[in-house]
Amino acid sequence: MTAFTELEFLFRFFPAFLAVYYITPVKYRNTALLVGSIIFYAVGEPYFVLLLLAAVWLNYAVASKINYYRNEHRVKEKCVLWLGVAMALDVGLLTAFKLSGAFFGTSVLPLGLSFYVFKMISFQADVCRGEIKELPTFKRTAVYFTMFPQLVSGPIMRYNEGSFSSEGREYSWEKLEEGLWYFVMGLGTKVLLADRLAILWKDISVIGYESISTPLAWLGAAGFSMELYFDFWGYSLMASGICVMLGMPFIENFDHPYASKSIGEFWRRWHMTLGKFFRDYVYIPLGGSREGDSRTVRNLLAVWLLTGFWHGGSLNFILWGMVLFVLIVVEKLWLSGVFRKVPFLGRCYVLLLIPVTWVFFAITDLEQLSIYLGRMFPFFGEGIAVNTNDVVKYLHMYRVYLAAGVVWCVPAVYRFFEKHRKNPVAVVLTVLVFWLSVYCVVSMGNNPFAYLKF
Amino acid sequence: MDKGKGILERIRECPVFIKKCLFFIKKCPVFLLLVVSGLLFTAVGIAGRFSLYGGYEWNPWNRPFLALMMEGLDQGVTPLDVCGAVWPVWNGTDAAAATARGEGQSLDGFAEAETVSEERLDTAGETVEDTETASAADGAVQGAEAVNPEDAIVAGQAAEADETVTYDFQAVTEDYFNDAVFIGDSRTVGLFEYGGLEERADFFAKISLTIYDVFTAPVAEDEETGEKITVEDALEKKQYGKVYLMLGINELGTGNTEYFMDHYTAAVEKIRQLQPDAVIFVQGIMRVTGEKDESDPIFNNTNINEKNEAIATLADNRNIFYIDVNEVVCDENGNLVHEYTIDEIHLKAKYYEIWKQFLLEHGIVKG
Repeated sequence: MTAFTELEFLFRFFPAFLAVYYITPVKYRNTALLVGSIIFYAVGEPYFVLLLLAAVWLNYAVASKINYYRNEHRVKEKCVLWLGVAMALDVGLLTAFKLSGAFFGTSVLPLGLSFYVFKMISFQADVCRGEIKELPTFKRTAVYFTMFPQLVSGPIMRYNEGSFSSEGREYSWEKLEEGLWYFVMGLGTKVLLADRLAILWKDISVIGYESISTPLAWLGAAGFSMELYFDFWGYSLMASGICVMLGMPFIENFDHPYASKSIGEFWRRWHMTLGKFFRDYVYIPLGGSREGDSRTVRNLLAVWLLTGFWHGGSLNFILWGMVLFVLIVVEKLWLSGVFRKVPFLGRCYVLLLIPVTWVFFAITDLEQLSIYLGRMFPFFGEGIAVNTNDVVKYLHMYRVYLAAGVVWCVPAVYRFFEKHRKNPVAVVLTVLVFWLSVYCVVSMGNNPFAYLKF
Repeated sequence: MDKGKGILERIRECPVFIKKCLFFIKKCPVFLLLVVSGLLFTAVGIAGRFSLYGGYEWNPWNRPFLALMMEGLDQGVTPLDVCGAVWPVWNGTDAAAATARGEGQSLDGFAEAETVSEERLDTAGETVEDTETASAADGAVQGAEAVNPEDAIVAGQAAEADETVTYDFQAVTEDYFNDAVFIGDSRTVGLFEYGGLEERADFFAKISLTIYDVFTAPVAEDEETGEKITVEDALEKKQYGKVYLMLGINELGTGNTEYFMDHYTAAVEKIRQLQPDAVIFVQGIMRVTGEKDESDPIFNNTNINEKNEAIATLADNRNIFYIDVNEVVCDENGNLVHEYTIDEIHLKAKYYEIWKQFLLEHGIVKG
């Protein structure tokens, strides 16, 4: 149920929750949201829900200590000390689970841990810095940590970005409609595009990387780049759409990253809440870019090592983070001027290099990764049993999804629909997208081999 | 009096109600449309549950009624079909309620209702048929009989051919495939793409091709026009020296072995008719890996082996030969070698060579 695209979420949990939420008097809506979120999580993780609840309770206890020393006693050292306790608790929890996957092979990462722990860290830091002026009540804090739209895959919202008191939210039919539009767009992006393109990536792995032609290797990288984007952007749209439907603000997580003019910009527009998290809680506290080039490079290294590690425990993610680190440093020191003058060059640079970085992200086995890269850049040897026409076949098979994907990456297209979403034609289109997505979910669920027809 | 006033008031309120409706339509059209269509689809699903969707799974928690409608669409049953199926029942119950008024009418109603329930049996169709064939124990015997007269005809055509002569496999060179055709599913597609035979042999292969649609699916290509044609048409147009057939894994989920073999035998007979001089190779279905074998209730090696044993009985070693590539792609436990595959079903491109070498070692040369 924890995936928004599942039927039990779409037609059972969510409508029921929404009805209960809106029938409940405004005063008690936080309680409804809290209970709903815990039920939502408990269905997916019947044991780790206890870990979540313990983490919420412990974090609140520590946060009230920080708040106590900050606002009432004004002992800065104690305040920082307790922040250290909070960090040890949260970072320790996250690292322990991430590393257990890397060392024992079996990943037992509790659902959404990476996301809710980051919310907790930001909360503690914001209390310590005084950005959260008064310590909120336990219920509001718990709602912030556990609220189900963001529990599993973010966005990593800050406490100050929304109102966590029931009365502070905006409830209206327009809000409901607006949130629903985002939700349906997200659903369509995920189900109709990402899930289709995922099959292309699967197909390529079935051939075996050593036997794909160079054009197919690039097509695969491009397809995966779109798949990943649509998967995560779609999911973020759904999550933020639900938040809007509940009366909260829309949290932006993706801003059409493939239209960026540099890799730095790409990462300011991709998974924005994570980027902002690392900027505000790692990069800037370390000194940012104000203390000379060597310090800047060191700070960037820290950010990208952490980013790599956050995405997964295995070595390829660290490697992926390092590749991005090198690209961004090179860009910051030497290329940014060129890209500012000739934005077209920057765009090409992004569209050419980002798919290569995603290959590092996609293939966890280092040997397979090097084979794939070898096929993308075939200067060091030939493939085995390569069918040179393979790219024609897959271009033909996936032409609809690839073309639609390219169009959907263009910011103007999305903005056009967003602007005209109340137009009757757009309304009908939205409804169609919803039912088409549901149809795809049903027919796939019905046939678990849809990914693999023999 | 009160009642009348109520109605009047209600009439007077009507514009308010309409205004309210318009207000909602204006404010949240998508929301309203989704709710209304969702309820409508649910109604179709419920109606279908008691008629055409009878065989589909419904589950109060994760499989709502409207999913049945979607599943129906996937199977080619439209909501209109459901209305068509339910309408007589609806009428029938209406009529039954009005029994007091006229007996004849109500009888008609019941009669109609019966036709509907029969229809429902039909849609549950295949499974019923399967069990019937299964219970008819002589199914396989029938199949065997059906092959023999066919052989007799062929023997008659090839006038002096001695019915007792059989042939042994022998190594051949690649030009052996110059007059060969391969018919099969995605595995054969893989052989076409990565086996290096595409220049020599013809391939009538498609992902998810089955023995049930092998002659009707447009998987071959007309050599003159380039149009997609059926295997049947293609085999009528050109005579081959060898026909290789590998089908059966997609069929594991539908019908039992008898049902499968009825169709398989018929297909081989038809190939025999269309290609009287060709050597027919019926290939054993390639197995899956041990991991897949253990985890999959349908696509496992027990089921594959059962089908393969049945397919092997078709061989007469004169005109029809059974070859089993599993001899060279499986480990000592009879599972597809783990390293040969990513998805536990298909060979990786570079291992199709093993299959080709196996075919080269299993040529049949007559005379």
